[in-house]
Amino acid sequence: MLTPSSDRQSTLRVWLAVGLGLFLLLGLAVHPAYAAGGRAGLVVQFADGSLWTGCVAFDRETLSSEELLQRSGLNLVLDYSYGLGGAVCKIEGDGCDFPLQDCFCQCQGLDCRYWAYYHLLPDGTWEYSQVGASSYTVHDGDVEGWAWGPGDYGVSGMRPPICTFEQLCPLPTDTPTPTPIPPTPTATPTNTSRPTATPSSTFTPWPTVTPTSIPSAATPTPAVEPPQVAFSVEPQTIVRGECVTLRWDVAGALAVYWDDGAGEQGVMGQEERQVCPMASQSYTLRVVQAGREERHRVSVTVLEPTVPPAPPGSTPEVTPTATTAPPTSRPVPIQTAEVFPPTPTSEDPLEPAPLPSPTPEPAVGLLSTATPTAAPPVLPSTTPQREAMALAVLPPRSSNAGSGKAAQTMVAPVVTQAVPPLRPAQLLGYAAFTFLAAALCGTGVAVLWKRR
Amino acid sequence: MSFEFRIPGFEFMQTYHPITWLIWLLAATLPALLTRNPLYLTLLLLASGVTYMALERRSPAARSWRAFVKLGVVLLLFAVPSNALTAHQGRLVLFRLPESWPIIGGAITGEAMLYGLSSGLSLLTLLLIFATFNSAVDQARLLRMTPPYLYQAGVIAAIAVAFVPQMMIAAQEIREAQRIRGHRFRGLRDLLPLFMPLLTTGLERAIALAESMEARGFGDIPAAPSRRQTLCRAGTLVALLALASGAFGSSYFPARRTLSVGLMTAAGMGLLLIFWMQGKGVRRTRYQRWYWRRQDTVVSLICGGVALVLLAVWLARRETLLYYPYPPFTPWPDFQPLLGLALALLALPGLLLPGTEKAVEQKAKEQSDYSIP
Repeated sequence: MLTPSSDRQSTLRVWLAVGLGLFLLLGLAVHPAYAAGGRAGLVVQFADGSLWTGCVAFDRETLSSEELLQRSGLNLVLDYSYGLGGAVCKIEGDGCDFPLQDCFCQCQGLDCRYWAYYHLLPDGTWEYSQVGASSYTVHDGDVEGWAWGPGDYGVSGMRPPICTFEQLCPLPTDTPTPTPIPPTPTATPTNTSRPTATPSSTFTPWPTVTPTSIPSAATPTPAVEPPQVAFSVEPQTIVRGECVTLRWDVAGALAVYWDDGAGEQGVMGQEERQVCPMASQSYTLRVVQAGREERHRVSVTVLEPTVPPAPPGSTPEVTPTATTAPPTSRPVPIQTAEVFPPTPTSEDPLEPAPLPSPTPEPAVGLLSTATPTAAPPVLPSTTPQREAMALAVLPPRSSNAGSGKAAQTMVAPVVTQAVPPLRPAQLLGYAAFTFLAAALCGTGVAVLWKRR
Repeated sequence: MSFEFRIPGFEFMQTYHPITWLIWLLAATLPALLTRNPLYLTLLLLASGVTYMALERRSPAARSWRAFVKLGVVLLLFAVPSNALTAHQGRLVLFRLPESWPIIGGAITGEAMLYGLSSGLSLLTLLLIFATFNSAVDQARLLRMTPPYLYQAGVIAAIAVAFVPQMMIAAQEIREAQRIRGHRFRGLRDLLPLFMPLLTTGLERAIALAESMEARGFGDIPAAPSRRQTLCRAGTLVALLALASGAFGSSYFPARRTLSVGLMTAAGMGLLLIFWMQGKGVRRTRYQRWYWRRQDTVVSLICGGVALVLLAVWLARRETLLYYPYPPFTPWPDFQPLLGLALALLALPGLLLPGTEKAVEQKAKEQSDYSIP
């Protein structure tokens, strides 16, 4: 039996413990989550040896490696059913079709092929990661590597080529080197010109090619007026069989080259062209000036002609090339990976027009994309603040075969965060479900009533 | 000797033939294991629930399985928040916890809740199906249905299954006896006067049972095995080795898959042949029969049909059964009305159970036809 005083003492102790616990929790939580910002490099080597490299900027202190992969804009399939994070099953078409197949479907016996994950050590070698992508925190200056190939799971695997952070995330004064990235490190400029990140959570614009304060380490030429480029495509999303119109207007440049994935050709400064792409691809405009060169890119998304008409205003779904367009008679598999094209202008209230204006707009690195997704899209599900978004400095994917396959599989650099809407067929199914469930509940009630 | 509670005059009313219940069990367990789609699982849960409720008034054993079902509900209620708090992937962000909190810090997403719900539902459905089956079929009699070549294992399993209820009843009796003697059970140390008599009672029972079994000639093996027995044993060993090597080869040498599968099939057929040969030597008499009635045919056919439909869907269109809400997939589950209807048909055994009066008159009729073989 507790005496009244001991009772009070024990409750006091309990409250003290609770208060201490809350204080500790708050201490952990109230953490100057300063937007210190940083950049990290990403190297992905696919099954055919082709390489994807990119630089992702973030305005938080650290990032999980899985988030780094997601922000790069690559098409990912991850398996979260292990409960300790996500296992990478598939990147951009190489890998296993989870959940139809097991996540490690090609690693079931002696011959094991999987996505091996590495961190770049300061001495320039790859270290096989001991933890998964969800558990590893990426800091500013890190380089993460992924490679598909044979290996011993958990011990070793295929290694991607070594790319240093300076190669992947060059400073703005460097002339952008197109891929393939040379194995020898290029001369790295000093870090004095690096922009300091502001503590606010607004989007830190990438420095454009025309900062007057940054000293140019390579060429001693005097500062030249930058060329004025206006490069656009209309419309941005088409159904296969339709055509788009590309328009560009370049002033103050020495030479302009246009690349449609099949090769580069010299073009006039002001031109309008119509092309009919068969698959999603991007077009690059290379503007050359004295001692400087810029690349501007626009992307066109080509959709499969889907049979059921999408309701107006909804995001059209793109089925990947692996699955065929579903006819209405067959039950539509729900597991088709839904790739989201860059948000069409009707949905994005912040971007009035798809026309680019490179210099005043926060350009995406040195390869500015002219799509409206260059500005950070509002993520509807997260806080309305402009969180750190992926700025992938995307050189065209270098392929050893040198085929045009590179341009076709490029995706928009930003992943939209919209949940796919319900299709009308699904709603019919749900109606059938409610009917059946009600029928079963009715029989249950009847059985209970008969029981009495 | 079964210690289940019996209503005098009811004995154990046969609801359906045990084979029918086995077919129903197969047809209900297949979708519970193959799919995680919460809509299909809900329908299956409702169907098994209807059957379970229909059985509760007919079988006194059903009441003792209620705790099992309650365990399932507790697991479901635990699975949803635990998954929502630990998995932070998805696009339907409900709210965010500070990232610095260990394990639970991050976005709490709708997809994680849906995944937890589907996992918990599949567990609950399985538990309910097995609770229904166990309350429908008398376990002791079910064990008597073991194939002839396994009759020894069947007897041992029957004894093992009856062990737990026996011990519980013995513990109850000992507790009452100790209480009458003035012993009070307050803490852990007071449980010693309960455990010691329980152990000794258990040992005594075991020895008595062994003596009675030995007196009936159980486990009596002749000193020199006959040629036939040696052949059977050697054949079993060879067949098992072939089965193991076939399984090994099919996973480690995928290029030689046809060879491995062929080896496994041959081994399986060999084993069946040996079992049949061994079973021919065992003579069993049945004391009480089960009757195969018209409703058994109906229920078996329909449940068999449902099982076949599910197998066909699994082999041909696996994607209709799969459910994975995390990105890049959609969190809204798909629902095929025909498949849902097939699952709802599993409530049939509960619906077709005859009423109590009709069951009694049916049993009376059967007992009057009964004749000792």
